[in-house]
Formats: sequence, C-alpha cells, structure tokens
Amino acid sequence: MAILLFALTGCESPSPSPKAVGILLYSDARLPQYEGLRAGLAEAGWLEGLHVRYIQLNAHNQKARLKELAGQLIARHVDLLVAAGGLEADTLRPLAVASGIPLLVLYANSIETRGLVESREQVGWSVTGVDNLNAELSGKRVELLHQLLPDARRILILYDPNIPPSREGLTSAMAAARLYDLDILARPVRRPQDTHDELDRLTSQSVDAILTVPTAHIDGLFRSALLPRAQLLGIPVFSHLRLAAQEGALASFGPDPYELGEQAARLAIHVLEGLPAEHMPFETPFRLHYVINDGTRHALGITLPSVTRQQVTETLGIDG
Amino acid sequence: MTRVITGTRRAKRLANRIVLLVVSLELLSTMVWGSLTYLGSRDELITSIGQRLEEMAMRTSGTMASFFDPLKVELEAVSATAQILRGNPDEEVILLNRVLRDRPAIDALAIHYAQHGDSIQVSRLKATGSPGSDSLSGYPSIPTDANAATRTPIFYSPYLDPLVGMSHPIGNGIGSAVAWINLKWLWHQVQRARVGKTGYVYLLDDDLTLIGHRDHSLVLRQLNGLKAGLPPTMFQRDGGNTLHIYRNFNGEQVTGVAKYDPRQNWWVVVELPVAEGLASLNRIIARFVTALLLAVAVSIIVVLLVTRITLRPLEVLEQGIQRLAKGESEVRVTVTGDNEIARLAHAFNHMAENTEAQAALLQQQATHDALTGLPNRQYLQRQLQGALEDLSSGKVRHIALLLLDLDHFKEVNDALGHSTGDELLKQLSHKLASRCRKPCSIARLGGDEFALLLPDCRGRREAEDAASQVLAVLNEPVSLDELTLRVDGSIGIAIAPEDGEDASTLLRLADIAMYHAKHNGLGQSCYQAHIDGSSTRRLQLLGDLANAIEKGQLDLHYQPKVAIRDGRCYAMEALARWYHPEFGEISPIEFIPLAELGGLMDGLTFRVIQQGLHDRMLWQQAGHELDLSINISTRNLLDEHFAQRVQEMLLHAGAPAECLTLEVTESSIMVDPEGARRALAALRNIGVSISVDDYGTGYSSLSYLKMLALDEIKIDKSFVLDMVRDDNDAIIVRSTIELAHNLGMRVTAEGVEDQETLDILAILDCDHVQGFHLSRPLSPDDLPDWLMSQQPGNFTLVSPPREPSVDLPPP
Repeated sequence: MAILLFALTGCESPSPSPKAVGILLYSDARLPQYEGLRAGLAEAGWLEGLHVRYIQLNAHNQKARLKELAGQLIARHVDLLVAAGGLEADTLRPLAVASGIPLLVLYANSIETRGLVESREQVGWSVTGVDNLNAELSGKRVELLHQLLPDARRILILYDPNIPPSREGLTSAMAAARLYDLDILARPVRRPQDTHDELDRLTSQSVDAILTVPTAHIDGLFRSALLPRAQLLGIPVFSHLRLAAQEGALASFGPDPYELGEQAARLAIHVLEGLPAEHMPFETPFRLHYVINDGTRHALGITLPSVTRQQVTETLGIDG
Repeated sequence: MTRVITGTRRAKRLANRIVLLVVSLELLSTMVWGSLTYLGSRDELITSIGQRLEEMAMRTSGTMASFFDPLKVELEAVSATAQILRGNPDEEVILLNRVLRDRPAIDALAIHYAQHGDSIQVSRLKATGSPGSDSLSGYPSIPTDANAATRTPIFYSPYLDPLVGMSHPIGNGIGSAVAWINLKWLWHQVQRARVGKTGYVYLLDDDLTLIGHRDHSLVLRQLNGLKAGLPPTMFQRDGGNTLHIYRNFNGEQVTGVAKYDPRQNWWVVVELPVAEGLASLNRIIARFVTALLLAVAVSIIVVLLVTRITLRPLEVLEQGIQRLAKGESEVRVTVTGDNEIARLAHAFNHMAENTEAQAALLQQQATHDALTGLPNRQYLQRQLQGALEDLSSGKVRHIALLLLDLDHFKEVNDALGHSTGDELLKQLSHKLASRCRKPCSIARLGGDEFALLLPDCRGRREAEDAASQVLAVLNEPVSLDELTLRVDGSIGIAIAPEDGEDASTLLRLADIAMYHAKHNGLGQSCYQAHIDGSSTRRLQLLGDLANAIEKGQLDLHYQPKVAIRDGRCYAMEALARWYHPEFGEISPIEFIPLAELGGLMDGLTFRVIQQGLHDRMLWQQAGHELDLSINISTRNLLDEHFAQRVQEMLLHAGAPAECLTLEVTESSIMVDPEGARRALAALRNIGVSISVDDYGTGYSSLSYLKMLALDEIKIDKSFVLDMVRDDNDAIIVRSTIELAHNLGMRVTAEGVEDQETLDILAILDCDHVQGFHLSRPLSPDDLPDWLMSQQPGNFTLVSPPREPSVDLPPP
C-alpha cells in the first residue's frame, strides 16, 4: 500500500486547458500589434498552445465583415476578446457587454470621444487596453514640425469632422499652433473624393506643410493620393503613422503598434488571471517614436536642426 | 449415510471483524503517518514560501533602485549642465529634449530659475511652446529654491498614469531641475514579476497608502481604509520579514511578506494566495486521501479473500456444529491439511460419532422398555400416530389397538417375588414379540400391561382373532425355575375409525374395553358404547330412556318358551325393545344397564309387567292361554315393595299370579343374597314363579339357589350353543338339568339354535327350551300370526329321539 501511496502522491496533476484569446483585426495593418501581444505574452511565460491559444479573425479591410467575425468570436466562448484597433473595439463592444467577456484594446485613440469608455476613471464595462494618443499627440507633432521647419507657417490638415479622433487631432494641433503662431489650414473631408478634390486644389504656394490626423479614409489614400501630390508639389508631410514615414513622409511621431501590443500583454495576463478588466485603466504608450525620412528630407532640401536631432529616435534612409 | 459438509457459506461475523480490525489499523497508522507528514511538510513549505516571497521583495527593491537611480543621476546631470547653460534657452531645450529622448520614463522636464521665475520645459506628449511659457502648470508645484533633492507624492495624470515629481537643485539656490517621472514603467516591471502563478507584488507608501497595485481601483487608498487583515507586525522597519498568513483586502487568504525600502521610503509587499502556496501540499493531501481510499478498498478485498480462504474450514465446522445442534445425524466434516483446524475437524467428527451413539442409546432408552426390550408407551404413541395418518390418508381402512392386561399378575409377584414376576414378563414379552408379525407391533405400557397395534386391520373380526391368538399364546405354559405357570389375560379392543380417530381416544377406549373384559371375565372385549359409562351417547340415551319409559315408547317383543315334552308354547318371555329416534334400535344389552344406572329399573320393570299383562290379556281373548315371563333386576329385588306392586298390577290386569314368572340373574341375587332371598320369598308368597336366568355364568351353586325356593333355572346359552361339540358344556347342561330336577325345579335351556341341540336337550330331559330354532323374539303385531300358525305339538322333537351324538360323560 505504501508503494501505491507513493506512486499516487508522486503524480503530477494534469495542466489546465489553455485560455482562449479571440483577436479581431480589420486588416493586415493591424498585425504588428497582434504580433506584439503574442510576443509579450510569450515573454511572460504564456506559451501558445500550452497556456493560451489564439483565435485570429481578419476582416481584410472589409468593415462590413467585422460584425460577423466578432459574432464568431463570441460564439467560440473565448476567455478574452482582443480588438487590434479602434474599429474592432467599436464593433466588439456591444457583443462583449452582452456576453460578459472582457475586451482588451491593443491600439486605439480618443477612447472617450469615440464613446468606447464612459471616462478613463470609470470605463463602465469590462474593457482595458492601450490608448495610442494619436489624436492628442497632434499638438506635439505641431511643435516638432515647427522645430523641424521653422519657416513653415501654413500647415494643411485634412480631417473628417464626423470622426472623433480626426476632429480631436485637429483641435490639439490648432491649440499647439497658437503657441507658435502658426496657421492651420483645416480642410474637412468626409469621403475619399473630398480628399482627392482638396489635393487637386492644393498648390505649392498655398501651404508650407501637411500634418495628418488619425482619419482612416484619409490614411487609406496616403500612399495613393496624398503622398504623390505632396511630393509633386514639394510639400513636406508630417504624419502620425510611422508607416507613412517609411513610405515617403518627411517625419512621423507616435507609438509603435508592435510595442503597444507588447505593452498590452501584461494587461491581458491580469485579465486572464481573473482581475476585472475595468479595474485596470487604459494605459498610455511606453515609448513614442520620432522618425525622420532622411531621403525625403534631402529631396526637400531640409537641414535637420539641432533641437530636432536631439529628439529623433529613428532616421530612415532614402528607401525607408 | 454419513453427511459430509463442504458448504461455502461465509463466517460473516468473524470475517467482518477481521476486516474491520485490519482496515482500522491500516487507517489509523496511515492517518497518523499522513498527519505527521502533512504537518512537517506544511511547515517546510511555509518556510520555503517565506523565503521565496522575501527574495521577491528584495528583487523588487532592486528593481525600484535600478529605475530611480539612473533618473536621479540624469536629473543631477541636467542640474549641473543647466548651471553651465544658463542664459541659453535653445541649448537648454536641446538638453532637455535629449534627456527626454533617452529617458522614456520621464514625461516632462523643466529647469526653473528662482531669481526671475524663468523656466525651460519640455513634454513628451504636449507642445510646450516657446521657452518661458508654463505649459506644465497642471503638475504639482515643486520648490524651485530648495537646496536638496525632493520628491513629490505620487499623483495621477489625466491619462491615469502614475507620476512622481523629482527635483534637484541647480547650484546654490539658483533654481532646480525637475523631472516628472511616469511610474508606469516601474509598475510594469513590478507587475511583470511573477510570484508563483497567482501571487503578486504591490507597493505601499510610507503612510501605508497603496501606491502601486495591479488593481487600479485600490490605488491611492489607505490600507486602513481597505479594511485589510494585514497584521501590523508585518510593517516593522527593523523587524524581520516573517511570513504572515492573513486575509488581504480582497478577502483572499494569502501568505505575505512586507519589506521596507529605505531608499524609496516605500513598503514592498509580496503576497501569494494560500490556495496556491499550499496547492502542492493540498494536491498531495487529495492524492493521499484518494490513494488511501483505494488502498483501503484493495485491502478490504484482499483481506476478505484471505479471510474467506482461511476461515472456510471454520465455516464448514460451524455448519457441521449447527447441523449437529439441529439434531441431524451422521454429520461429518471434511477439512484437508494438517493444521489446527484439520485436527479440530477430526476431533469434531469423533465427537459427532460419540454424540450420535449416545443419542441412539438415549433414543432406545426413551422408546423401549428396559426390562423386556419391547417398545414403550411413547414408541407406541408414535406408531399409532403414524398409523392414524395412514388411515386419514386412505392408505389403510382400519386400525386396531389391543390392550392386554395380565390376570393375577400381582399374585405372582406377591407369591413368587418380583424377580420371578420380571422374568415372567420377559418370557411373555419374548413369546408375544416372536409371534407378532409385521405390520403388527407390540409394546409394553408398564407393569403387566401390553399393547398390540394392528396398523392395517380388516376389521373387528380380525382384531378379535388377533386377541384370541394373544390369549392363546399367553396361556401356553411358562417355565420359571422349577415352576410352570399358565397366564391368562384380558384384552380390550378399540377400532379406528369406528371407535375413534385419535390416539388418546383409542387408548382410552381400548382400556375401557379391557377393564370390561377383565371385570366380566370375558377374556377379550371390543369397545362398545354401553360399556363406557362416560360416553356422550350413553348419557343422551340415559336421558331419553326415562322419557321413553314414562311415555310408553318402549316396545315389547316376545320369545316363545316351548315345552319339550309336548312341543307346546306355554309362555312368552317379554323382551323390551327401544327404537331411538336418533340412534335407531338400542340393544337391551345397552339400555338395561342404563336403566339400572339411572334408577329407572323400577319404572321399566313395571312398564314391562303392565304391558305384558295387557298383551297376555289380548292373547287370552284371542284364545291363547300363555304364561308371561319377565326379567327383573337387582334393584327390583332390593325394592321391598316390589312384590306388593306386582300383586297390585296382577289384580289390575285381572291376571292370576301363577301366569307370571319373574326371571332374575345369578349376579342380581348375589349382590345382596339376603335381600334377594326376602324379595323372592315375598314374590313366591303372592304366587309368582321365580326363574334364575343365565344360569352358569355366575358363581352361585344350586344348593344355594335351593334355599331361595326357586321354580325354574334357565341354563345360559353359552353352554347350550356349543354343547353339541363341547363335551364339557354338555356335561354342565346335563348335570344342571338333573340337579335342578332333583331340587324340584324345572329347567329351561336358552340358545337353542338347531334341531340337534333340541334333540339332545330332549334326551337330557330338559323341560323347556328357547332359541332362534324355535322362534326369534316376535313383535306384538307378528305374535298372533305366529300363534295361529302353531298347532299343539308343533314343537315336539322333529327328529326322532335318539342318542346324543356326543358321548356324554356319566353324571
């Protein structure tokens, strides 16, 4: 009997089944933050397949599919819902509230303005995540743009008044512009054609620089319409997206989506361990990256000021 | 055949006790061992947990130091550089932005000059405008003229980022360099630290305000306000980091260690839920209990099997003992092997053999008579019971029970001694047993009383034959020492189902019949209700008889008395007949004793005399001059007024006394000889003739009877019936006739049933005869016809007178 006791007491109990994490992505552009999340969890010891399993559903730029895919995730009874971006968060919100499954947002901005939370202090439901502050950082971008292009006085901002981050970004930029006595040329665009029309009307004499604010349909036209027009007219572009700097914008300032995913991993762990998501406020990015496209700068004949040089965190070559 | 027990029934109680004992010992030892092991393991585990938590607290302090120390150094460098760059705002902005780039934990930096209130500031998130503006006015104020580094309390930004302001003096009261540090970096480091799976680290300010916790809803709250169960002894700065077990502010039972960090003036608390900390021990406990239950189950099965195998011989022995106790015979057990139980089984078998031998001896003694070896009364009862069961089931039709009692055995004992008496009993028993053939069986009931059972008897006649044979056997000479004895006996016979259908009734009735036979010298007697004074029928008849007498319901039949000389019927003997409405015709043999017993003889006799005289008158009127003979009883003889009554009745009937003959038996006379003599004399005085009935069956002598002045003697039919074949009877009849004649009495022979007897009686000069050969008793209705059919002389000898066919001995 002693042998039997020894044998039984020496046995390890079976591991619990891995937690299910359902991720909703609007497009492949959201993949960096998703990869960052996985990396962060893996670094914290949450091994895929052993402790956690991922269910990733990608809408591939089809906004209409987001709701359907969100329903599928709910039906899978996952332990944690993950929204790779603000669109995904807006889509998942009602379903998460109804099902009681906590939601983790990897990359979103204007969380109060867009109604994702009631307030930062009292979010109102089981949600947490990382606020990329892209809209709020528009003011800081104006400052950086001013330091980079001290002679630029007229700054064009295309924005959609119907989109809160776009609207908030404009507001923040205008407040900063007043500090440096700059003119913000705000042009509302509600649809892609409006953007095209504004760009068509754009001349090299009308503006000194272009500053982007977070607006999805304008961002979608950056590579195809905005950047070519700006390059054609020799107008420097300061973007909120690092990707834009890679593609030819003069500079970008903001968080790195991959890093935000990594940062969100800790919150995901707390939620998976049972801590209520609403007890953890949305966090701000750990790091902000100031990227200069040196090729564009050379093309535009811009000399990098000392104050800018001391702040740039990354300089891209001509090829990005 | 010996029964060998090989049964498999378990000795449950013993086995259960063994199982209970083994399991109890097993459980007790295991529980003691388990408890000691558990307590020891728990102490070791708690110690280990304490060490782990303390290490974690120290690592956290290290993390904090590695976070703050570079920032302090950086701020000190900014302060020193600012002193150099004073008055060159662009360079100062470049300096601050460089620091901001290199130190991402810093949200904002500023250089304040106390003298003019100038300040240079940069922010990571906000545009701060031109140097000199105050875009960070929302942050807590920090003294700009401080001479030493200071730090603000923790506060939260609009984005809910935890911030703390640190300042370092520039020069001597010139101003200060201020950094707004975002602690989310630190919190991130702290929270990433893993304490087991569910343990965590959190920070308390010097005043025990919760400043860093993964649950933001608790942050900036006083520990006291959280109603935490954290023991105060945890927060002793100079004390050890003793592990404590308590309920934290989540209500969760945890093991915790608090370590004070003097550089940051913060407490680092590391907690691990007890559920996880002792989880491994609990798992061991759970597995231990599971294994224990499994082991107990296995032990029970094994012990049961072993016990069953071991105790099986005992079970066989137990079965044998129980069967022996139930009285079963030839019980033996078979246990193989050469161990204690096998030897016990051998001893048991030996004991069983002895017990059975003793039981057989006891059985023999209980059912057999020690002296004669014959079955005893108990055995007879059992056999009789079995025979009655056969009777009730229809296997046999009759059962006969014969009770034999030796006559004069007491005299043998008295005269020859008991040993001779016993020897006599043994020899008689042997003879009876040797003559008794199955299914007949014989038993000694006690003393000189024996019983013979005929379990399959054809009827009364066979029983009577058997009784006769027994009596014949008894009557054979028996040699005892130098003596030769003949023994007589009396046998009573009861037949089932005619007389009774249960053993006790048969025994009782046979006993009554036996005493009847002995009392009457009959040798043997079948039970009849009339000899049983206590029978229900008899009692009913007794009541009904009185009524019948009173109401004249008895009939008289008449048997002719014929004179041999002339064949003339000269008299009729009145015989009372009673037809009972329920029982049918009742024999005089039965109801006469009843009348005597019930004091009815007077009424009966007078009724018969009255009726007889009446009938005689009718005969007379029909031309038949006949005398009348009437039987009287002992009680009539004892009635001193009897003669007077008879005379009155004669007068009343207008009949002469000479026409009436009263018949009395020898035994009636012998009851009170003197009284009888007086009564008979009185009757003679009134002219009535006296006849002695059934002469020869008693013990009276003719010489005695002569003294009574009798007129007639009636020789009992027992002598007459066989006188043709029995010389002795013929001699008795002859002698009686001659002697009676010599004494002046006439003689009537009863029981004449054939002509040969009649002829002999004629030769012997008998006066009168009666019997079926002449006529059966006639009813009053039949009598006239019979009388009319008779011519004078009809009853003379039919056969010519001849010599008797038997050689009569000379008188």
